[in-house]
Amino acid sequence: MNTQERDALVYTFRRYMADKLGIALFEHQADWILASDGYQLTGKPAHPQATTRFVNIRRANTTVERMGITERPGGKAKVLADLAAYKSGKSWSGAFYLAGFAAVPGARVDIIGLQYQICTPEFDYLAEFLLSDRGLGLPYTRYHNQPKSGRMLIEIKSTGARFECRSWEQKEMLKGQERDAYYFCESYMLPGLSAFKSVAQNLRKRRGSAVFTTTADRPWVTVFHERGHGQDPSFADWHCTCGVHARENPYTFSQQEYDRDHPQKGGLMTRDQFAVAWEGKLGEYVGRVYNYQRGQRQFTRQTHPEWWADPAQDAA
Amino acid sequence: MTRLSTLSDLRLPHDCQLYLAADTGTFLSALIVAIDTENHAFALAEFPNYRYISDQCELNDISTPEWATDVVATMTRLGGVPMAWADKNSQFKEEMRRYGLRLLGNKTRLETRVSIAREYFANERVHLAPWLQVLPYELENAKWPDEASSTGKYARIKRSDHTLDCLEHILSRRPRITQRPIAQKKGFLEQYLEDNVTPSTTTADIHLGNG
Repeated sequence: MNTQERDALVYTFRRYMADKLGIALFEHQADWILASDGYQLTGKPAHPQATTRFVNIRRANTTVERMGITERPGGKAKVLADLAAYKSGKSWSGAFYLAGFAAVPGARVDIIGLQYQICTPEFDYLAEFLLSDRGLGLPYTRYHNQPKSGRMLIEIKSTGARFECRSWEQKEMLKGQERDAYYFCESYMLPGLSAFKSVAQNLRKRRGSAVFTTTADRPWVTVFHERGHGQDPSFADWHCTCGVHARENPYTFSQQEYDRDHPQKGGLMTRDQFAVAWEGKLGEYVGRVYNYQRGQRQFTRQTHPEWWADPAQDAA
Repeated sequence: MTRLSTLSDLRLPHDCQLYLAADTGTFLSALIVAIDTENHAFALAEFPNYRYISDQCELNDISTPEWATDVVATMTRLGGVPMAWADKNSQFKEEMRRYGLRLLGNKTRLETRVSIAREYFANERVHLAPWLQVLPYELENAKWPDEASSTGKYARIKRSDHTLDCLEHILSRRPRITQRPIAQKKGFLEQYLEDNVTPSTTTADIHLGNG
């Protein structure tokens, strides 16, 4: 099976799973998962007669909308990031994404966390999608879920697809393999982009993907934001979904807790913490020395015309 | 078609003053900052002999003499004096002097330097030229440690910070314009009239008398 066939199979199986289980994704979840399939949301309702070019989106008021999709300009994204607030459904969508590989014969997918326990939410959701009676109930040859002893593995009987959790603390064990996808849980905990670079070669042969879903707790995750919005053609296969507010997930959002933490309402959080935790913002980070983000505080012809030789000429 | 601005597009206001700082070692960097009359700092030019590639520091192919010559030439061209604030224990003072760059030891400790620089940032008194690449990266990535050291020091983590060091060296001196324009001294008669004679505020026509 070549990589195009594999990608088509993953896409089809994910749609089948969504139909069978009655799944409607939140917009940010659909945004990055569609990017991995080479699509993007049009932002408009789908044509009533559309049979494939649509996706069901669950809104914050829990209603479901049938939204249109179109081809993504950069094609299928292979490095994907979902930078969202706490409890906005990142792990769930990660598991939904990974579940698509269960249909691929011999698929190999690693779920990487700083420690095994970090992988627990994604792994539990994945087991629920694929193995449980509430999910697809697929037969399996192996299923271990023992985070404390580092044994977290699902192997699907019919296809031999294997999902395994790995600990970044034993990163040397990740070398020299061949993978269809890496999923990095709570990526901000990892040391930086080096976590990806050190295993990226394992994705090369199968044209695999790397997924980072995280809150923007550490500055290094802005690397996805900078490269994942299509400005740089050499990173066309990077995608970033960011600025996802906790309110987007109505099942976990609590207005009372939101108000309790809100800095302008005398809450418990600083503005920085609140922006990251509730608003999914990349802006300012706890632990930073300077309140600065690249691109800020520039003096240009517009802001300081007296500093420029030819004020009439616009800066690029 | 628009083009990106460069250092040569600048026209420095006549009343600003230039400051230079350098960080020496295997990784070299220098920074030129202009201070205006309101004590705002404008970072104009950076001279790192390295670049960042995926968060890793890599040396450029430039020798120390080439680097120093470039710094001196740019500073001179902008109208400044090639004297740079640097770490007080810099081992490069003699070598740099050979290329016309004089290093002045800054005795301010790192914690104080950072604290003062943060003050400038908090008051929005730092402005960066749009062509700077390395300084913005280092500013963004400057981090506090998780804990204070065993001796109780709580200084930012010293990593990826050579150009940032330069900015902090300059700001830690609390630079200001030293040659403010001197007010024109008034003559005796002008001063006497100003002090003793109240200007007439009447609107009546002087040719018609007071009526």
